[in-house]
Amino acid sequence: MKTTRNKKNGIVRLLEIAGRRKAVLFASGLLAMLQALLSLVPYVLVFYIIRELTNETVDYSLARTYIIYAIMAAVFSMAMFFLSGILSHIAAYNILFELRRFVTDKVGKLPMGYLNNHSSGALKKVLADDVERIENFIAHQIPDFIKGVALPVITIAYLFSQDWRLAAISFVPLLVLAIWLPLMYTGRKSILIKQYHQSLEDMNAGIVEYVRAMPVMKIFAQSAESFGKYGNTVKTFNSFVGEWIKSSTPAFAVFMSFTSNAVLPVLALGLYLYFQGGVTLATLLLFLILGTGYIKPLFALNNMGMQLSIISRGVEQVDELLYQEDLKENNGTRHPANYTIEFVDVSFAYQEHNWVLQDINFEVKEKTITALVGPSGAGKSTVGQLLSRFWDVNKGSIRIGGIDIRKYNTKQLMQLVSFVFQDSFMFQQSMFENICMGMDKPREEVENAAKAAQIHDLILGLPNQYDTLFGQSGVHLSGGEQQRFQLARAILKNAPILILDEATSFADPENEWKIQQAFSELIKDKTVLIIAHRLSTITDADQILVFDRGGLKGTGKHHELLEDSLLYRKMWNAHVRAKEFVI
Amino acid sequence: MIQHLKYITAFNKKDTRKIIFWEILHSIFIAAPSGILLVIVWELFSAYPNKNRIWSVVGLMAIMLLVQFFVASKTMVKSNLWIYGLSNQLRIKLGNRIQKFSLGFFKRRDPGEIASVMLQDVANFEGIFGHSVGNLASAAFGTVVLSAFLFVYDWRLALCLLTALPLVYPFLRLANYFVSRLGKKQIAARNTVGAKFLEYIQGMRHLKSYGLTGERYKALEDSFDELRRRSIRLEAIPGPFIVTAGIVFEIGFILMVALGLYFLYHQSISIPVLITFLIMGYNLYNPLKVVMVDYLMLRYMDESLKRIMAVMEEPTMETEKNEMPENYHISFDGVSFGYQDKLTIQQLSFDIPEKSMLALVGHSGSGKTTIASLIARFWDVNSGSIKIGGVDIRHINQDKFYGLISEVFQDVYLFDDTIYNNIKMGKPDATEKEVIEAADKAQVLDFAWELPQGMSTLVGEGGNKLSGGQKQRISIARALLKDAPIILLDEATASLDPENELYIQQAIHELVKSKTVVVIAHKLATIQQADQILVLQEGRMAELGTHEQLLKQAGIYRKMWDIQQKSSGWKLQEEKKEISGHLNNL
Repeated sequence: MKTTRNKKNGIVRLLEIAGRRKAVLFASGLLAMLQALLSLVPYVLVFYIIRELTNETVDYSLARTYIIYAIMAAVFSMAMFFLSGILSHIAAYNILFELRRFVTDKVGKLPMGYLNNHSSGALKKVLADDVERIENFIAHQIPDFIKGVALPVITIAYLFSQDWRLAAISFVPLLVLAIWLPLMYTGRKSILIKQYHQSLEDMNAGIVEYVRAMPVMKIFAQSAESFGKYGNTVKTFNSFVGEWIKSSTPAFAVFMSFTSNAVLPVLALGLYLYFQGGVTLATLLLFLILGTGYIKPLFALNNMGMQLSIISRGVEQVDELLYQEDLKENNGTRHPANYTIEFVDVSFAYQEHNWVLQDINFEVKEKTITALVGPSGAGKSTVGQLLSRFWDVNKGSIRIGGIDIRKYNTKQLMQLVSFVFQDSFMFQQSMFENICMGMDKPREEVENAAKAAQIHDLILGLPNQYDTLFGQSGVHLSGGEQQRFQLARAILKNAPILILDEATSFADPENEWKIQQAFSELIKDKTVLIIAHRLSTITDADQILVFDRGGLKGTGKHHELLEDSLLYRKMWNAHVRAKEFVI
Repeated sequence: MIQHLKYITAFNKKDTRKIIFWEILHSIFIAAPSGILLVIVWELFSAYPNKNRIWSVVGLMAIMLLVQFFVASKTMVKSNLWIYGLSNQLRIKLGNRIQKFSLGFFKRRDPGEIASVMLQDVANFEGIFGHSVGNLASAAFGTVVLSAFLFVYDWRLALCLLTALPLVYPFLRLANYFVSRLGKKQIAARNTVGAKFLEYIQGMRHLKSYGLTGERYKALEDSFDELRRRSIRLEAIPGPFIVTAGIVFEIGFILMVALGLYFLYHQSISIPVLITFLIMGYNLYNPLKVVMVDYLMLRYMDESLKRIMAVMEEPTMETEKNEMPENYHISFDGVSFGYQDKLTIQQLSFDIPEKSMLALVGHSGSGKTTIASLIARFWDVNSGSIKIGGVDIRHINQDKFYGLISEVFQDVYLFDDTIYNNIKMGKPDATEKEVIEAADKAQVLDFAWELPQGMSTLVGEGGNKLSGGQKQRISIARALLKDAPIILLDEATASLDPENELYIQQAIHELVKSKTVVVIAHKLATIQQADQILVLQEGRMAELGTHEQLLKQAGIYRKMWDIQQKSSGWKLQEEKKEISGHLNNL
């Protein structure tokens, strides 16, 4: 929502969120209040009718008017009930829509590190579930609260206008409940609630592990043991629930019984006053009907407390995400004189002091090919990610055409640099959109890119050609084929700088020569940085950088490094031997 | 719905009857104050009200309240215990049931989805049924008893009240129809939002490098918009029907009053009778109004019950016989199999002699993986049979059967535990020496030594703190320790981690020594020495023989071999670059 750090919690924060649709919610609340008022009308009219009936002479024409009023009140009251609900839901779902947009936007602006440290499932829960819970507050609790307060106030005000003594005693049940309710949730109970939640969480974890591990358990024939563990969490939960029920339900039962008999004090006093001649029979009946009607909406309020804490916890999760710091964005536009890349004294750590790269210096001349090699974990992939500014460096600077990449704005930097990742990713969209990636390009150019990446024929073989949805049943693409989509995207984008993270699926033996062709098309006239996993790929590179444990340990061409670098020689030998593998 | 509930309540028939008794008793107490009120009203309207009688009835009401404390708490405790007892049994039954499913079930269904059946759907049952069972009891009881009572007083007015019921019913049905129809669409939209957002996060790097984040990623925003629309429709469209049903109730009551006044005017009823109807009318309708909402909730709950029943009715993989093979010769005899209608494997017959190696070759989708999955009994064949040592694999006790097979596939599942324990899984009673030996052979020790906690290092959820190659080596160590006589192997696993290819290859060599081996092959050079190579084409056997035999045949295998020989690995090509090339405009 707002990225300033004015953290608010609980109901204050919820009201702040609800405030985004103040006018609609105000209207909804007003209607809820009117509905509460109208819902009393039939009762009051019944009272008038009874009053008529207890008169010596009954005026039936008056009764007819009352009945028409009563029907109108009933219709209007229900209509308002409906309108109030619709308005509050419209407000709620619009707010949820906006909140989701905020979250999405925010996630796009965060450094990649945030996504690496949070499981996608957890983030999905924030966007899908935690946001959804707010609906309950906005659409239900706000109108319910207004009704819950308005109805008793209106009722009691009206009752006071009829007879103050009986009205006063109508309060008694409310007072008793006000004292009784908090008692239900304090003391030992609150400890029990905590334990209950704990055992519920344990059971959830137990079930999830039981199901997820089932295939492995089966293969290693350990199902009996795992079931014991699962069964125990279920049984523990059940025995806790049992204890919770036994200790909390009686109090609730008293509460329930009391409400269904809430008429008792008014009845006693009313009868007493009636026998004394203090009130009329009609007034007595009015109090008997209306005097306890206000208690029901209070049930909703009782529920609200418990739900609010769950909703608020969800909002805290949403806020935690919204308050994360973005990568700093520069608004100026810069024009690089050339596309030479420089790393100057670059150091970087994902976590403090745990250096992944330290004091790295190198230059990639415009339109040359540079390969990064090294054992896994040497830091070579990080170099590519830093150049695309998925993270910012901790020390030093990375320059393109002599200008620090932090001085370009994101959009511009992304136009300068294309990244072909090790893992390809297909979106659940059409083949066309999967190549286009939001770029504003004519169909012909997209098809040319697909041809260059050797996927045009493949796409024409699909049921709806370029309009075929990926992920639709029957549409399967191998790793190598998906990789070629990535190449098509990069060819279409045609950025002057290209970062290639060589993927294992490039080694798709059935399609190697096709990928070969796609590549030569892609790297034409580009400044290329390739993160190489197989050394035979890059023997012809203009420059090879050897990384080990975050440091740059050698620079040169293939034959130079074979002589100068012990590490490179070792890696080369292992690679040659691995190529001869036979099972 | 009734059927589903019958199935579940049958877990505890004895208590179910008791609960019904207590719930009815409790609803008598809930209705009692109105009855007492009625007695008082009658007394007040009689010519000579008997004060003593009135006061004693008020006293009775107070006493009844005290008894009600007891009855209510007894009923509510019992009924809650009953419900939670049922859901407890349901969870245990589900747990037992899924244990018997084929491994294919777990490959086909998202484990998160099954877990949510056991958690969310059972919780829906507890919550909704637990909440509404009391309401249902008092509505059912109240309606019957009260209507009978009112009919005795005046059948015409009673009929007028009851006429509302059939009138309300169609609106309720319509509301229900829309709730379930629109609800399904809304749930689908919700799932799409979740899926699209996951896609957004998982593809973030790709989207970022095309500047497609935030509002620019239309697909996601469209899904939010769709959910907003669906949600509002779900509220707005059934709403009028529910509201109309409410209005029918209200009008029914008011019309009854009007009719009552008319009868009163014609002196065919007395004032107390009309007042009786005034009070009791609301008592008749109120529980029905509550049940009306509950009804929609129960329909919603039924969706959960359907999902639970679907798991309960999923066929299990039972083994009637309990035979054990004497040797590990594998034979396929006229095997056909399809995941759905289409057959992926057709009429396959071949033999894999004990301690020999069979390599499966073919284009993607030709059925290589399916054959390996059938041997591991992830699924059962549609026709024909697979035998190990002459015994149909469906006749081998499941637990013992899995002891015969180790698989090394591309996806490895590691537990959030230490490296040591993850290996030890292969053989729970292994000694420390055996575990270390396996770790050594699988080249696990090589990298474990460099970790701060060595073999006691925690691998993280699903093993995400380790590289693909490291996870693979742990899974090989696990298989080595298990020492199963049959090995199913995906050859591509060796090249998942190019920097460590050589290590993994060595580990695989250790693993397949003197075993019956089935290899899914991608790089043909790797499997030249296999005893048999089975070439598949669209689920049928195209060629079968040794490497030399197949080369001579000059068929599919020969063609694939030639192509792979021609391009031995891709390479960055030396392009003559024109240094004077123009800079792209930004």
